[in-house]
Parts: sequence; C-alpha cells; structure tokens
Amino acid sequence: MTTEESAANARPINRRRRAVLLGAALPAAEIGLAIALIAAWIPRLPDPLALHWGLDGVDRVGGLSGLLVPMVVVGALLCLPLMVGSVLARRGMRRGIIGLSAGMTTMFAGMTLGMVAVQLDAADAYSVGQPGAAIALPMLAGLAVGAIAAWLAGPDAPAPTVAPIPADAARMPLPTGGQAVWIRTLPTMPLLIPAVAVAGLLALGIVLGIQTGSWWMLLPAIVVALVLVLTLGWRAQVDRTGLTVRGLIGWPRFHLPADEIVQAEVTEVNPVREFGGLGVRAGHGNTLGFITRKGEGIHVQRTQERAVVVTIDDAARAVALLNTLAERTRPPSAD
Amino acid sequence: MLITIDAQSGRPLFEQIAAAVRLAVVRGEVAPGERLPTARDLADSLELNVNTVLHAYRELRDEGLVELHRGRGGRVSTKAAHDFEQLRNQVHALRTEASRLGVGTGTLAALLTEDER
Repeated sequence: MTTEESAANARPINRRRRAVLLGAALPAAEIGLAIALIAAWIPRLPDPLALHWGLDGVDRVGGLSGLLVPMVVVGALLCLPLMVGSVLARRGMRRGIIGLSAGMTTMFAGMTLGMVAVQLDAADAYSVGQPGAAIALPMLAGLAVGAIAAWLAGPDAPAPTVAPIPADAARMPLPTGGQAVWIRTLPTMPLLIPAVAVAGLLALGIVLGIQTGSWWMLLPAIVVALVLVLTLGWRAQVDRTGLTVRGLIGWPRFHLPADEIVQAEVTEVNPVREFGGLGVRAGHGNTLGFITRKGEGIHVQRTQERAVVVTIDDAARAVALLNTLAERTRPPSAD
Repeated sequence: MLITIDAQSGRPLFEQIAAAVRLAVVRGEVAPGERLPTARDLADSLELNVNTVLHAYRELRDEGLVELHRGRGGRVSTKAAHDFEQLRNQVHALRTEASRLGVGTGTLAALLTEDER
C-alpha cells in the first residue's frame, strides 16, 4: 500500500508512452538488431546452413532463407499483432499484452539469432553442435524481459468512484470506528497435470542431455517448475485498503483499492466457460480471474467496467466486508 | 479468518485479535501449518500498533496454538490444531438439536458458559 501511495504521489507515469516503448518500439528494435547481425554474419556462415537438429545432430540443411522464412512468418503472425495490441490495449489486458509482446519478440529474435550464431565460422553445416543454449537462453530471456516489461508498464491509473454501494448489496455490521480484516487461502489447484508436465519436461531434458551431452534443455523444465511454485499458496485479504490477492512469498501481488469498488457479490465460478481454465486468467470484458477450482467465489465489480473474480471459501463474509469497507470510502449521503 | 476490532467494547484489543484467531483455528478456516499474516501487515490493516498484534500472537504462542519464528511471522501450530473436527460436528449437532427444541442461541450459550450443578 505504501509503495503505491508513494508511486501515486510521484510524477504520474505516462502509460501510453510506456506502452509504445515497451510493447512496440523495443520489439521492433530487437527484430531490427537480429536482422542486422545476421546480415553482417552472412560471410562467416557455412553454405548450406544447418536447419534442423535431431538426436544425432544436424539432420536437415538448406539456404539462409530456409531458416529465416519460417521464423519471419511465425514472428509476423505472433509478434506483429501483439505489438499493435500493446499500443491499442486499454485497462484490463494492457500489461499482459505489453509483457507478451516484449517477451515473445525477445524469444523469437533470440532463437533466430542463436541458431545462426552457433554456425558462425563452422566448416560445414553437419559439424555444427546442438543449439541447446541457443534455444534455452532466449526462452529465459523472453520470460525475464516479458515480466520486466509488464512490471514497467505500470498499474492502471487510479479510477476512484463516489457512487454509493447499492442498497441491496450485502453488508457486514461493524461497530462505528471498528476495523476488520478477512484473510483466506485460495483452494489448492489440482496439481496433477502441471506436475506431470514438469516431470515430462525434466525427463525430456535428461534424455536429450544424455544423448547429446548438451544439458541446456533442462532449463525450461526448471523455469516451469519455478513458475508452478509461484502459483501455490495464494491468499486473498479484505481490509480497509480494499482487496489484495498475493502469492506465497507476497509476490506476485494484485490490489484493488476500496475506493474503486462498485459492488462485491458472491458468485459460482465455472472456470472453463468463464475463464477458459484455471490460474490467473483474463475473462470476458476486462475481468481478471484468480481461479483455482469450480464453485464458490467472489465477484468484485470495479470502476471502468472492470471486474475481479476470486474462487474462495467463505465468500459471503468476504463480500459483506468488502461492501462495508468500500462504503466507508464514499462521501456521506446527503440525507 | 475474520478479525474484527471494536475499540469501544472495553475488551483489550490484543484479546479481541487472539479470540478471532482461536475461533478461526477451531472452525478450520486456517489450516494447521498455515501462515498467519505478519504482525506489521495486520496492524496496518486494523489501524493498530504493531505491539498490540505481537501481544496477541505471543498470547496464542503461550497457549500452543501458534508457532512464532523471528522474522518469518507466525504459523498455526501443527500440534495444536488436531481434533477440532469432532468438536465442530458436536457444536453443529448441538445447534441442530437446540433449534429443533426451540431453545434459542442465548439459552444455549448460557448453558455452555454457566457452571453445571
């Protein structure tokens, strides 16, 4: 809370400019840099180039276009829409798209560059080693750049409301001047499928490592496992500052200020229909979901047609307290 | 877990916090081993002095309900919170029976708080 207050007191961030810089200008610069480097490297590359690697080494060769064309097509289909989206997106999706744009482009530009770089000064295409690092490192870099870009994109601009909480919304009787806090851990997500996925990635990394002597492919498994750990033990807290949802180590952290709450309600969540699955999810129309199961949850309507949904037990008390504390941020009614 | 503070009630503030945590543990709203909010965080949310929250936490530690670790906050003790399930069931049965007989919750509470003869 204190960090947000000090951030709000400091010079206001220009979200539009950051979106253009992080979501479009940075990716464009990365692509430009990759193209320039590859062009400069052409004299040092073998002809033909290694295009594809199997377990026993290079198994397909071809010209530079054979390596670049598929990358450019996939990149254009994926990165260009994200760059445009970064500039156009408002509110709910803005940070996510900017992060995705910066991260995806970093990964794609890095992989293309890496696959060319491993062939520099090679005698011929078949003598080129496994491009493990050229694949794993750009993946890591993409994650890091994406996360930093999303963070730098900044939270939504404050949008407080003075509209009264609807009379029919649930309330919790609190003594005048009394204070209350409600805290609950989100239900545990079914972890079988992600655990199997991590085990599969680990096995793949180990098999590839033994077969090729290149252990770089263990990196994606480790990263996915770390991300999985970040999804455990989330909790929701309702207090005078509003609704806060955070991970086991206090990060990532999401905060909905009390003065931006329009109304809180108990809801029944259908993860697949409303959010397309479990996890931290974007739902229909600027809805942010912290979804760990099917069933009971809270739906908090926020200003600017945004909403937040959290699956949680004891939703009735959470909702009543949210409405009551949000009401305290509103000016006293005229009558 | 819901912690409500009423400064006007005359009941010590630390006792109000401790009572709320006890109730949450017995009700199973906080699982054994689960972290409690840091004293600073809770004090901030409730607009209290951090020492008031620490007082409550120490009280709960002395009862064996909470384990305190320097710098890492508190956890619900894994030893203390074992057989509340049965107590919860019995309370539920008690409420059901009382409501069947038309005995109000006030009377039920008096039955529990007053000494048996």
